[in-house]
Amino acid sequence: MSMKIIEVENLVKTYGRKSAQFNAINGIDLTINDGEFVAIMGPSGSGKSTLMHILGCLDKPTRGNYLLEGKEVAQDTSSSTLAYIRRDKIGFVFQTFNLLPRTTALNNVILPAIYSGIKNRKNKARELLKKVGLEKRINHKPNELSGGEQQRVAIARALMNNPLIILGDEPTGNLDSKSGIEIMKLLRELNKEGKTIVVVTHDEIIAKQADRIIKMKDGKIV
Amino acid sequence: MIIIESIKLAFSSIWANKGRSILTMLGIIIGITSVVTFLAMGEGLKSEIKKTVSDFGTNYIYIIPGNLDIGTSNESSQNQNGGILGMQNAMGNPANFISSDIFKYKDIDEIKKIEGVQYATPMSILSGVIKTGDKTITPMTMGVEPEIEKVFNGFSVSSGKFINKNDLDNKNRVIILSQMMAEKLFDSVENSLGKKIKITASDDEIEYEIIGILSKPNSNSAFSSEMETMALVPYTTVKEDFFKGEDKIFRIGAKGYDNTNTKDIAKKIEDNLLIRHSKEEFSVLTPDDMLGMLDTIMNLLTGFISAIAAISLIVGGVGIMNIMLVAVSERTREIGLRKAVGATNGTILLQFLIEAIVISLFGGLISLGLVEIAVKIIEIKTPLHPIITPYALVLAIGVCLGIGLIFGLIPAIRAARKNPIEALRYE
Repeated sequence: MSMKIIEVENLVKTYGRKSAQFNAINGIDLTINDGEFVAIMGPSGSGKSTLMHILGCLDKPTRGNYLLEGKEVAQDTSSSTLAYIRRDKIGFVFQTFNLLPRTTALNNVILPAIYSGIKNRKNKARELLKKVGLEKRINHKPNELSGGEQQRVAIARALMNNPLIILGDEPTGNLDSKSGIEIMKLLRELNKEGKTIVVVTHDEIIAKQADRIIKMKDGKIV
Repeated sequence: MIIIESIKLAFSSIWANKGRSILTMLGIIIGITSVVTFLAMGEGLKSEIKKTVSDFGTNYIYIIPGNLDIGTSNESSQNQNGGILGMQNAMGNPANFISSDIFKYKDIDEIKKIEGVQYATPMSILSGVIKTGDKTITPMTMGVEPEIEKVFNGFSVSSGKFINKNDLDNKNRVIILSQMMAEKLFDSVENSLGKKIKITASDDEIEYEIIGILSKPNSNSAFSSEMETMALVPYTTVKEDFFKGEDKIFRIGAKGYDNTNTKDIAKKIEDNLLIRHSKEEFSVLTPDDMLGMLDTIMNLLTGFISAIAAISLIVGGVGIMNIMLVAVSERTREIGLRKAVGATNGTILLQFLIEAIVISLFGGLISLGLVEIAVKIIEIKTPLHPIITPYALVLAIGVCLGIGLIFGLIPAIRAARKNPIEALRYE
């Protein structure tokens, strides 16, 4: 019996002022269980990124319910509470990697630990870099790494605070197809180890690696 | 933990933008360096003058022509040069004596009658040269009475004897020279005792016998040189020989009994002199007055320099604000990422605020290094000995902290308020 990690009910996200409002998300119901590998697909403007931001607590829903591990994230949740949730529960992997320039792979991986204050962070970061196959690149800076390697560093960083979910926002979007496949393989492995993974993509081949594909259009699941 | 990380981060980002950071610090560096150096110079000057003033004793009363009240300078007080020169004038700089013999012997007699006054003694000044053979000196020759030794410190003799009542009554042609003057004329102190020299002034040339040599001034301050160029003759002799029997009193030295308050006595003397003189004609000074005057002058100058430095510091602060705004905008994605991995608005604010403070404090530390160098140069090139007080150091560091805090706040708030989603998308 798998536990529900994400429960979304009638979720609405509205942008803009009264006269020019539009609903980026227009009533979504969604449940993601512990240990699932889910791909959210849809054309641009379908609201998949907005959904991703809300699931990742970078943004708040306008209406509806969002329960993360049974706890509600709502319009009135404070920005610091959201920051703590992101710190402890979510690991982000971005399309553009978003590594700190002029900073070694090791220190990039350590970054989330600075905010969570976990101990023994150097060793843990080294272990994680080894896990993603970069044990020989520990002291390299982002500009000395290939795109695929940079994304591996980003995945190691996402794992640093031992999150509940890894959220990938087009994680292979900036990579050649070979590196893309490798990154998906790595995510697959992490999923096998029990991590819940949610990936947003518009690439069918990538999406097929997931257990479940959720298709979105015009702010709704289709 | 976050604070230590932020400090580390601040240093690495300063290091990554070395040139830019130094340029940013320049305003702070100029401001802090100039104020602290000036404070050190002022402090050095003050302590030297203090030493000199107290070399003459701590409870004497010095009456001089001209009104030395700070801020009341006017046409009638021509003798006042203001500022430190006025101070020097009060101490008796020979360059400033311009027919200011306003006092009469009656003033001395009247002051002596005041209750509590132990001594009142005239000082007349003769501008002349002293010769022996082919050697000439130009000392400050003063006509004095024996009591001067009791009023001021520093008028005692190291060899020979001082002018006594007998010399005064008989108008003996005797002279006391400073050690330096004696050595100039006769090579050594021993050689000069008992020797005859000629004083030339206002077309008269009269022979005097050296009966004593003044002790060396006990401080090495820039102003003790005046004591080094002194010659003393009996008041009555110089009056007869060079002033045609007229009283020419340029200064009066006075002193109360040991158990009296110098300030009270000075007030009584002032009131007494006001009977015969106008307010603008004279000043009655105590060592405390002179030091007080000194403080007023120094505070005025310090305030002035501080105002100029404040402008430089504001410019420096705006420079820091500017560079921090640039940094915040350049590092928008970094801010977005930090927020995504769990930084709160507060930690982002702290990070950028600390960075601004580190830049400012670093500038302050560079300034203190430059001050050290400036002080060394001043010591070598001038007779001043600047003193860097702990107060000045605390002030400098405090000001830097304040500037970093004030001018770093707006950029830090801007960084903290960034929306993480937009920040992550920022190109």
